[in-house]
Amino acid sequence: MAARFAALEKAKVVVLDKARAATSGPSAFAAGDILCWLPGEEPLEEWIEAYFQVGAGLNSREWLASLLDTNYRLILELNREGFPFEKENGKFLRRSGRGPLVKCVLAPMFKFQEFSRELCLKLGVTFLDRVAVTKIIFSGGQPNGLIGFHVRTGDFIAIQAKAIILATGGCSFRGPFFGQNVVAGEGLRLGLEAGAKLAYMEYGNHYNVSLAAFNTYGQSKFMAHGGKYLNSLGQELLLKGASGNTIVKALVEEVKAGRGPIYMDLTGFRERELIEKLMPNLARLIARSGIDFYGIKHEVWPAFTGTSNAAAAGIFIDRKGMSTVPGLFAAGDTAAKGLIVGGCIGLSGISLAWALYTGFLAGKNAARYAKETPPLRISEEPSFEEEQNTIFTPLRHKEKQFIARDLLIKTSQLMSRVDISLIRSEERILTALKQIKESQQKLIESAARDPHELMIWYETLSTLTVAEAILLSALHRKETRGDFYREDYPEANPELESVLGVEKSGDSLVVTKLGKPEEGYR
Amino acid sequence: MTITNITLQHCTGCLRCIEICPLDVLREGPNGLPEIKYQEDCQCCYLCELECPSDAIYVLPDRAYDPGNVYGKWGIKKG
Repeated sequence: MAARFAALEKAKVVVLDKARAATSGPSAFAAGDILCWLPGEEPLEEWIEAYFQVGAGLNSREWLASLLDTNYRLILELNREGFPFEKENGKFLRRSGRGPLVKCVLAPMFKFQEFSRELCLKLGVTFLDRVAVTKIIFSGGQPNGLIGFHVRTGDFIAIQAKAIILATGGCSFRGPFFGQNVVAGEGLRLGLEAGAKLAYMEYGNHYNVSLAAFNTYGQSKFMAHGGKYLNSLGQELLLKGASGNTIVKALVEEVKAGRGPIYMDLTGFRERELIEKLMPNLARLIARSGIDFYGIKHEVWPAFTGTSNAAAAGIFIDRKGMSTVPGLFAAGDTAAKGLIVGGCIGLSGISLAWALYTGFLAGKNAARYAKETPPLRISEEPSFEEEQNTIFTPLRHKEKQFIARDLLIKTSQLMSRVDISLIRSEERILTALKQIKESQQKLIESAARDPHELMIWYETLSTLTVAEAILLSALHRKETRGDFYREDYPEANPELESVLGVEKSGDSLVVTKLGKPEEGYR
Repeated sequence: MTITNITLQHCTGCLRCIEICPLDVLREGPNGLPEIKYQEDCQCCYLCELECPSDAIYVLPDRAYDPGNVYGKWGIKKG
């Protein structure tokens, strides 16, 4: 989406993606709920206040007002252009979900993303698929390009750019269901390495719910339209209006109390046709698995998606979508949506709404930034010889083993644990940090045997960096606030009503207090 | 299990599956037809199967890897 808005500003746009741009990330697999205030329903102020109140003092009314007021205009614009949306009697189909005052418009996201790609091509956008970016290059203190490699040919790639938008999604830690596996936090690591601040990292702990045996998702639709959770005693857990993480915490409390496992009962679910339309992959899974998905109850467990989806964590951006590094922008799950959700994790429709809004912000403003930046002279182009040498180091470790994939899954299993990422304690955070540091050391000493494995090597590097940032930030928030829970600090601490930032200092990550959302840039 | 089989007799060689795979699981084989190269990275998303014009691909629905002990100190339950 950022590419589209940048191209509309007449910028020369190149999109690099380690997979296939537009249809490979979580958006293409999403359940299709885009949070959208529409005029003529409730007053805008009512929405702003409802969402501000659930943010636990860490979000901003100004950001909410801008998001809600801008997003419906963008949706009308996309609708006029022919992007696919679900309609009823010529009007947007409206559905609710988790959280307060949730009303979404719905879109079949694979088709939506494919349409977006085609439109970008018509606007002159260049797509370089299967290119893994490993580093942002600077010249004269300004970002001026990216380097990486082709994951199939192994070719070295260098792109010069006056403005860069990081839109790589969040970090799902390989994800508990399809669509999430592909995002490994590359944008967050690239931003950190370039000097940008991350924010809300302790809230990079989004949990969904999934069947124990299959990659199902769509909790929001299921529970808002007749689905219910049951404990092992068959008692229904009444969780109307709560955020996703609040719901999952309630499920975990049942397990802690000996009333687990938890089951999902969809016998009263009323939207089966919509699932077929919006989530064809899920429909295929249901058919293929042979289970009676809607007819009997199924065991479910907390499904961790990290900073991906409706989490708050990401690169701290200003009202132009720019990070704390001039010329470096962020959009979608790569940008910290804590600015609008604060400490409330798991609101329905927020992730796609944020992707659209920040895509617009970053695309438009990066294009304008690039126009205002003087052309780079040839003599300013850096030599990439040393960089090429560094990028491919794991391929030269012929005597070592490829262990990155195992480390990635081990990290996923660690960070998915609800006693590490949902209900925390200092002791467990420190234990997890120790494992992450050990894995980082093992990774650096390990090999990759081909470019595909090299991509996984870098995914693992990024994932471990994000894990460290999350754990460090969680260590510093010595309180319980919103959907952040500490067993050892069960109450809110007024002194910590502040956004926490994470940035690079030498070879280490450091956590700082950024103040209120609007204060963080000063 | 994940993607398990490509029936090459049905395959038209359009290579859409290779283009669309989010995790680079499939590659073009020596005969110009797709082959499963990195099965362990398949996320069972069904994109290749859904996009295949000749129903040549079969994906099993089970989880690709063990999610581990998600309840941590409070239980070993994972189904």
